[in-house]
This record gives sequence, structure tokens and C-alpha cells, in this order.
Amino acid sequence: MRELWNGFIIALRRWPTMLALTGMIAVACIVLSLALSDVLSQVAVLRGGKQLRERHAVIFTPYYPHGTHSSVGDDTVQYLADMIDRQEAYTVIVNNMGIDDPDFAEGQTVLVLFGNVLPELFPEIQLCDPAPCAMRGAKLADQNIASVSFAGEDISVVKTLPVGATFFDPNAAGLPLDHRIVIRAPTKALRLLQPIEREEALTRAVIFNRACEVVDAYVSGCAQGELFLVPHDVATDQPQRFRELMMASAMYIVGMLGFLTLVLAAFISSARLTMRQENRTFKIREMCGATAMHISLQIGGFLATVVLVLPIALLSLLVLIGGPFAVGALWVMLAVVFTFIFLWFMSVRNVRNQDQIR
Amino acid sequence: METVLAACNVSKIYGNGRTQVMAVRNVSLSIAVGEAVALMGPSGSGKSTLLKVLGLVSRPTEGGVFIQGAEVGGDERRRAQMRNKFFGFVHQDFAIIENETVERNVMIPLEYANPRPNRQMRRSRTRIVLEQVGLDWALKKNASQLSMGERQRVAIARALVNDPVVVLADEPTAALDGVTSNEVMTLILSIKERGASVLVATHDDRVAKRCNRIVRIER
Repeated sequence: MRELWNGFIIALRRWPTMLALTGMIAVACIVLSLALSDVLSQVAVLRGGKQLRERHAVIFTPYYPHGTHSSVGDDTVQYLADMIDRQEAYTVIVNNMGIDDPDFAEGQTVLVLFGNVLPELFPEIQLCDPAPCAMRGAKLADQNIASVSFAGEDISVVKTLPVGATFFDPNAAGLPLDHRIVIRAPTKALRLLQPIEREEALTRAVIFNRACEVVDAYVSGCAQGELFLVPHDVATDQPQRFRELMMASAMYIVGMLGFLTLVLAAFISSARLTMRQENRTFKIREMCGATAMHISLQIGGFLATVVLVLPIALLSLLVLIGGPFAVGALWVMLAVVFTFIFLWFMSVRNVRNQDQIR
Repeated sequence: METVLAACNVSKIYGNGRTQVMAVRNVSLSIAVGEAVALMGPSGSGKSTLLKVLGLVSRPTEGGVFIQGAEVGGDERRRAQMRNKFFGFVHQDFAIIENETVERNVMIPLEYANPRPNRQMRRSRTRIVLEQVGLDWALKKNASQLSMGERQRVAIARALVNDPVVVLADEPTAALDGVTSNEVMTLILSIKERGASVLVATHDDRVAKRCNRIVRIER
């Protein structure tokens, strides 16, 4: 304990430099946490895209020739519902659910999911099962929303989603769920949706491994109701938009990882430089009777003061606050601890290897 | 006279393979109780290395170091305790911690003493040695605020604070002017009055002449 304290005193002796260094490291850690959270959601996007490609998914984009409202018949809706029940498709409503009803889901933004294939397709979101059921985003954890009235049925909110949960929407990339109520709705509810909700559900349908006739039948059925859909096979066609989306995600991840590496390298070299400057102190103490263990503990105390205390305190605060950055903060915390151990090991080795007091 | 410190056929090699350097080659030396020995030799002859080996800061590649007739073993913890108990070190570049107070600099050996004196005793002992070297007024001053001669006196106070059996001084006057150099040597040699021994590595004939014996080491 005395040696750890001595390490702290060494840091205190150069407090302006050490404060600047620890401040820089703490700021870098916070920036990393924020960036890493983004990277993690972008990774979810890439993983979601891969899942869809592997399942030969067909997605649709709407085409509005006359700007008219659609009124797709129940038989086409049932056609989609049957495919969803057979786990050959799923669909979602992202934007238009309950827009005419300000009290719907107590005014919170919702995401409605139809499809039993979804928990298997996006395991990282940890969706409730079986449907019908609802979940609240991590940021809504303290909101007292017990159930959501949907298509004449009260659906219980059974759990809170993991912090930073992101849903992959092939048309809009990563969809953060922290501020949303997510409803896993039964397929029978598809027929009970309002026209605008129904239109979005039909447009956002994703159909797996289906022959052309099935997709054609679906597109024709929708077209009869004035909803004109253009199918895109994710695996073979790779629509330009989707490819650009994936490219942007990949570039973002590469860029952010490069940034993380640079910050980490700067952080390690600053700490090593400081250790070199303090090498003389350790050698003097060794000369005066300190053992290798004393020196190691002192170096540990010094490094902990500079690289561990403030960054870990701030990162813990981020984790405690929760929100989308908590996951990133946890990872950065782990990285900081590993870096501390690495630096400690390297510094002890360097000090031990140097024979001279410089 | 009773031998307090001896080196027997000591060699020290740094590095390995093609980068290998033999810093000390087969040196034997003994120092008696209360004796002051000057270690002279050209630069690179291994004076500093020999001092480090004798002071248990560095391990000999070959040969052995004997303190009061007993060979020093290889156990790190035991070597550290002996280093603390038997030796005081004075360096050419003072080897003091610049941004630390004089008191904390001098107190360092007491922190590692076994048994460790309590805080009050450590402070009192520190004050006494600082008085002996004429620096009691600088107790709470930062070491970096002192002149070169004063810094060396702080280093001497640190070397004396544990009542060492041998003071090992490596070119202690090299960075000092003539008058200060003389004062510093007087302080270092004053330890003989307490029955301790002094081994000084030096280039300076005036310093060497003040010792009881001169040992020359060849490159």
C-alpha cells in the first residue's frame, strides 16, 4: 500500500503534466466510447446485411406513379401473413404506426415487428418471445409503460432491450432502439392495420428464398391495390442503394477503428514517455533498498494514477448512466485495463533492464 | 585490520553475443573497517561498474562479493535489504529526485529499512543528518531549488541517514568547483569517524590523496 501511495506521490510531483496526460487519456476514452458505440451499431448493420444475403432475401422499394393512396386487398395481406407464419418472410413498421393517435404507446415512437423468424435473425437484440409481446428501449427503462394497446389487443411490455440495441432495416441501415417501444405483433393484426400502416408493412416486407412466382404474386397483389413495389434480390442484384449503405458502414468502421488505434498508440507512447522520465526515481529507490516488488508496485501506483483512475471513473459514470454509449464504455474500460496491465509489465521490464541512473 | 567489504575475482559482462562488453575483468579488492580507498583508473576501466557490483546494485557475471566475511547470495529481497543496511551511495550527478523536497529525498533509505522506523523517528533522523551536512534550513525546500554543491550534500545526507557500513561514492566531486569539492570530500570522509569505510571512484588526484589507499584499475 505504501508503494502504491509512493507511486501516487510520483504522479503528484509532476501534477500539471500528469493532470494534462490523465485528462487527455480520459477525453480519448470518452471519445472512444462514443465512437465505439457507433461502430458496434454499424457492425450490427453489416451482420444484418450478411444474414439477409445468406437467406437470399428479397426486399421492395415503392413506386408511386400517380401519388395516389394504396388500398391493397385483404387477400394479399393474408398472403404475406401466411409467408410470415411459415417463417418465409417478415415485415416491420418503422414510421407510420399510430401516427393519427398521439396517445398510442403513450406517445413513444414504436417499431412493430411481424415474424417469428426475427429472434433467430437478429439474436443480438434479444427480442422477447413468443409474440405477441413488447419491449422498451434502454432509455425508456424508467418509464412506467406496462402494456401497449395494439390492434384491439393489450400487449404487455415484458422487458427492456439491451443498451445500444440496433435493428437492421435494409432500407435505412441501423435503427437505434434505445428510445423506442418495440412490439412483436401477431400476424393476424396485419389485417387490422390502418391503410397507411398497412402500406408500410407491405412495402417493408422481406421475403426469403422464394421462387420468382411467389414474389411476382406478391407484387401483383400489391399492384392491384395501387401499391407498386419494385423487388430487389439482396444476394444477387445488390441494389446500388444497399451496396452504398454497406460501403458507408464498412468505411465508417474502418475509419473509426483506425482512429481508435491512433488514440491508443498516442496514449501508450505518452505513458511510456512519462515512465522513461520517472525511471531515475525508480533507480534511486532501488539503490536505497527497494526490491523489484516495491518498484513494480510503485510503477503500478503511478500508472494507475495517470491512466486508470480518472478514465475508469468517467467510463463507469457512462456505464451507470446507461444509454447507447454504455456498451462502448464497457469495451473501452476493458481496453484501458488491458493497456494498463501492458504498460505496467513493459515499464517494470524497462526499469529492471536499465542499469544506470539517468 | 578487519575486512568489511571484498570483491573476489569479480567480472561483469554487459550484453551478449557480438554486443557483449566486458566492463570489469577479474578484479579482487578488499576494504578494511574505517578505511577510505580511492579507486582510480581511466574512463571505461569499469570503476562505476565495480562500485555497482560491490554495492549490490548490479550482479557480477563471475566472482563474488563478501560483506563482513560472508558471501552475498542471489536472493533479490536479501540483496535489497543488505544494500539498504550496509551501503550509502553518492553519485557524480547527485542522483536526487529533483521535484521532491530535501526531506523526502533524504528519507528514502529509511522507508526501506528493516525494521522501518516510525514517521517521527524518520523525520528526526533526517533532520539530524541534514544538520550534519549543514542543510537543516533546506528541509522543506524543493531539491531543484538548491545549488550543485547543496544537491550533492543532500545526496551525502541520504547516504548517511541509515548509518551505513560503507559509503560508495562515484566521482562525487566531478561536477563541483574546487572549494565545494573540498567541502564535499570532507563530509564524505567524516563518516570514517563513525568507523565506517569509504570507497571513492575518482579521476581527481587531490581527492585520491585524501584517502588512506589508492587502488588503480586498468582498462
